[in-house]
Amino acid sequence: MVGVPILAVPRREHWATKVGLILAMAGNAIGLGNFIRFPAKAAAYGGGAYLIPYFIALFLLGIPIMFVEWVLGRYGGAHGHGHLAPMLYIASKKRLSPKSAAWFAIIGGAVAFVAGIMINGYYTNIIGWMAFYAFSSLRGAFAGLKTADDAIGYFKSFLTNPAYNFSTWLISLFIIAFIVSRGIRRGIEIAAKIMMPILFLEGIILVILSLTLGAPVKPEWTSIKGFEWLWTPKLAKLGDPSAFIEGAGQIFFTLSIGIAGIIPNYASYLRREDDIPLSALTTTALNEFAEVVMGASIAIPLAYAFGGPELMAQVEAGMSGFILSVSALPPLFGKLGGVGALAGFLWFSLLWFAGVTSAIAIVNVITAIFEEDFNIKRNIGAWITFALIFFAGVFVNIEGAMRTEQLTDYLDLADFYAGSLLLLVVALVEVIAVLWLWGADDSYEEMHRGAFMTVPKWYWRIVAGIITPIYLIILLIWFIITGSPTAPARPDNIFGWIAVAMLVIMFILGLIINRMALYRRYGKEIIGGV
Amino acid sequence: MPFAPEAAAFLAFGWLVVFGLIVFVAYKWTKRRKQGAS
Repeated sequence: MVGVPILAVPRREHWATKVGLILAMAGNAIGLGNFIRFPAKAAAYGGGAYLIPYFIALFLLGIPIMFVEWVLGRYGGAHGHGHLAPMLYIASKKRLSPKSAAWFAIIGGAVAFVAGIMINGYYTNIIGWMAFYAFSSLRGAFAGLKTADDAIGYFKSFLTNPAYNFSTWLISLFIIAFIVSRGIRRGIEIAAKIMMPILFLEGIILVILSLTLGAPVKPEWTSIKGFEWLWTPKLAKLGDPSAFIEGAGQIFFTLSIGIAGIIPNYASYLRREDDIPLSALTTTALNEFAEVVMGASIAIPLAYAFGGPELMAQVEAGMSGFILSVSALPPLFGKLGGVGALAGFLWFSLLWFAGVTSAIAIVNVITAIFEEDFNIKRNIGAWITFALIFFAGVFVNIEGAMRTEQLTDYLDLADFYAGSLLLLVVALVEVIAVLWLWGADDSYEEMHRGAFMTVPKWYWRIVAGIITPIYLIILLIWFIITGSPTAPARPDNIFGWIAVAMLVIMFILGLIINRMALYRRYGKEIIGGV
Repeated sequence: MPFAPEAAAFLAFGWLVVFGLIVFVAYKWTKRRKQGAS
């Protein structure tokens, strides 16, 4: 076994149970994207046929990067590291000089840091919106919404009302930071064991309701017709390369790969002999169930029952899953009376749980930096992270309160760079570190310590080592070329520029923090060059 | 139930892949548990 010298490895927490680990990992992966992004993308890029590029990306991109992140995380954890920079350093110094490895790791760590802070800044806001909508449904607020325009108006009035918008965000962010402050076993694992079964139960109830709803608006607009509409393949769409790019993009979002090093962070709490391949594949399977089975069976059939083929034409033309969720579903729930109020609560609370279990992971990876490399107690580190995310997220709120034309320029720009572009960068850095710098053979051997199943060697060497990075580079180039001219990539108002400034500030902060963290542990060998 | 055959085919394809993956991991966990017990 090729190892690295272990310098005073601090004691770290471990997952108490395998079930807890897998539920936490699944909670990390299963987010809003499973239920609102996937069905909208499928509808826009080929219906049932979208699954072809989607599954290709799952097997050539998603599963290999999952394995990469798990092995990098467990190996890093064994050396006392819970965040990306030192993990990348110990993996890449096998082939690079300590100084080059350090820079590679610091830049990779800083990219992960800025992505984590910025994503959670806006993502926790969206989680807050879901909390507001869940309780709005329970108190019957949707009953007055008759049309999609009413519903959009309702959303805008919420967004521009700081009392609601700010408080639901702050409460959600507080809950997230509190869970993280309690630690792995007493916080994250317990939360996952409670929230994930609730999420799956709510999802199954909603699938049953959605597919048996009938036609509450027009006799020909049955929800099952909407289900059929979604799965009807539009094979011609596969001729458009965008279908393959979007399929790959969805795999990133849905599995939470490349996001701020959160999977390596969770994997760092494994014991050195804990299984990787089967646990990672189990997490993937749970996520795919939540996405392809549950995610495709709720929003679109319900929306079809509300708006019929005309609304579906808008979805096919690119209406986002989020807009669909807040424009078509609340009036439908309002029309269904008491059952609708309950269904609305189930739907939006499901999205809240899905969001919270993902946001926890991002808070934890940042907290790990403070806890492990700056000797700051976890329950303080979690609140420092809370403050950083507050700082990055408060502009989403302020922009709403200021009633700008778009209302979400800050969010859109942060999402374009931190929530999309930087994921690809982080994933590419991880794959290069593990497969090329650490080496395919050594990392393969490490992955199979304590493994409950064997990953075919060709899959690791050829798919993860060659096809995955090529796929990532193509995605990156495509994303930059096609994404740069679009509206979210450009700052259109002061909040867009604040988002740009925030991205730069957080990147610089990430560089400083990661450099300090790395030099505290490995300074001597980096400076000495041995 | 009126459901277009091509829609049913792609639904079956999607669910087959997902449930196939679930059955595969369940089989591996069961096998592992039996090995651990013996």
